[in-house]
Amino acid sequence: MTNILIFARLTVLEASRRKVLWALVGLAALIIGLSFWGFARLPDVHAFGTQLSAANSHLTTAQLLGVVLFALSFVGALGMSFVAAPTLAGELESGVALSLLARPVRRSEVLLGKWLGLVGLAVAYVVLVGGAEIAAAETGTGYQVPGPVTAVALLAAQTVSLLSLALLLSTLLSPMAASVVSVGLFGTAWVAGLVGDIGQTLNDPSVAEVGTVDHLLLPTDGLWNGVMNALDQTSLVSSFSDRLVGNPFFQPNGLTFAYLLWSAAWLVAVVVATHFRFSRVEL
Amino acid sequence: MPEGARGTAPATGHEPATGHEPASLLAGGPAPGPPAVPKTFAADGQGAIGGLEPSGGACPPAPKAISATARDAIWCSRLSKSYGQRAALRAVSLRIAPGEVVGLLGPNGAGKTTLVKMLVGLVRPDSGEALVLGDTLGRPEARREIGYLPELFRYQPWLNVAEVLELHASLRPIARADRPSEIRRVLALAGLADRAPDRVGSLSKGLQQRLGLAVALLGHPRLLLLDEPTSALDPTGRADVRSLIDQCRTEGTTVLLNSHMLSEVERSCDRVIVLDRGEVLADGPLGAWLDHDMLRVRLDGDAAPFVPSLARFGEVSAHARELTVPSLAMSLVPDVVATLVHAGARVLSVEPGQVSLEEKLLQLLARSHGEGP
Repeated sequence: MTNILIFARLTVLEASRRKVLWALVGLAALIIGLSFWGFARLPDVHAFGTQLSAANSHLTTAQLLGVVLFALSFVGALGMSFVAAPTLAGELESGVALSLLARPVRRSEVLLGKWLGLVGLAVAYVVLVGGAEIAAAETGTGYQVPGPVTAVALLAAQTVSLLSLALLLSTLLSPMAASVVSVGLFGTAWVAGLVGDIGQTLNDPSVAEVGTVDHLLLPTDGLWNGVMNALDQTSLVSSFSDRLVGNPFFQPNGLTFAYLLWSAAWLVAVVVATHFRFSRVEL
Repeated sequence: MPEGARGTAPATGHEPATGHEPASLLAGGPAPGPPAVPKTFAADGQGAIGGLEPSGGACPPAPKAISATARDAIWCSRLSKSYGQRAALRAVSLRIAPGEVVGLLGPNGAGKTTLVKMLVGLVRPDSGEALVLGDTLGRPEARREIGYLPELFRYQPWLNVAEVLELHASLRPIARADRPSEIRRVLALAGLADRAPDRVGSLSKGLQQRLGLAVALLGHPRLLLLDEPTSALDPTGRADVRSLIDQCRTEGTTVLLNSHMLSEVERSCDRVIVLDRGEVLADGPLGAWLDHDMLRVRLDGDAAPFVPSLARFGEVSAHARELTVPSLAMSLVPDVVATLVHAGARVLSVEPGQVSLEEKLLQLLARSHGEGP
């Protein structure tokens, strides 16, 4: 356990010393600042000469909150991928791992320590940024997010899924390739999710199937749908569902327990696969 | 080695000699315990390269296994490793006793670094067994008492020198209370006493190698594996490494020194093991390599034509205008000169001396590759 904590601390320290942490915090601060300013101005916005109704203002807030959180989750995904991918592959490639793995430590301890450190960073980032965004929306517009904890938890789960995938890829590919592939897969999963939504809107089962398969293979977009659902008030869902069908920032259905279980199993499988692969890497 | 790769404790007994054993160079052998590898010697005092002699069969027999003793610092039996079609190690068997300082020699690609990495569990053998400090290869516990300086390494450039040492001290593990004094000790030993707060990324290659040495020396390891420890060091640094190795010898630390700097091996090691193409080519005390009289004769013209005339004096080699007669009793020097003059050579100088490690190694490798006499 001590060794796991040593590597977790080292991972956080590296992110801090390499200024990744500060870059993420800086970007988040910028987005949060702009969000506070923007959300505060939303109630005064006039559409076609008239002030927005409360319902429309809330709808706009929910939609904007979704967009901003998506942007932040993208920054987080990008950041965590670029931190996670080199953490194994970079050390294997550069020779840093040679002296560390020659110590009386198990590779599982190295891997778990690094994974925990990355998870800690990701969760801290998401809680800080997601919480601040939700607070900005509530403060500026009075819109009460129905499931702030669920939204932040699912956003964290999405980021953790992606960084775990990046870690797995870093045992197979070079640091740069692992980063690029994991971010590419994140984007692809999001687009595939959209295709699935379009399939549902058009009532085309074969196209809708794309989304289902996508959500099973890489649950980032599926979890994102859960975030969207947690941001939308039931009244909005019932009032506007006919107008918002197919909208990528609107999700009338919450995640099922089975899907959450699947996502957890997927995560465990990825971590186990990473350990399997890492324990067989020869230096 | 990846965990769980190999876990059986060796219990092999002596097996019949196959005639494919590495050359041993001095009777008695350096390793304690039963002399598992038969010692073979040529009459001229040079090691007979048993494994390289034609075996008479189409396929040479496999190198024999050797049995472990509880006292061995390193014991390997038939360790083999291939990368794709290329064999990096072929049934390597060796043993190193506690307190020995052993030089691991061989040309590039001989398998030296693979062997060292195997000993610290970074590379998994395809077959064979090994014990390091009595522990099975690959178990994390086996690495507790090992100090390792890799050949090509880096430390985290975003840590400072003291933090790198603190990290390795905590992983070794050294008790928290003892760490500051231990870190100061190894910093002083490596000549980095005033560099503790410096970022690793700002250190020169030589200073990083010194840091590598400091890391390897943390906690007084019982076994020190040094893979090219002086490749980036200046002459002062090389001298420091030699004195460190001397100090380790005094403290009873076993040292395996993998180096292409033969002068370094000559000065520091008690014994040498030569690997070539993944096989142990020779293994024996350094003295047996160096304590040979030899004669260098410089001629006024090409030396090669006069080699046959000196055949009765043993293996004679010619390089440009120089003839080298190894293992020659000094009483025979006048006879050599007389023979050359009789054969029509114009002798410019005659230099009695000793075979250097480099010459010996080159001879051995040339013979192994079928190029030598």
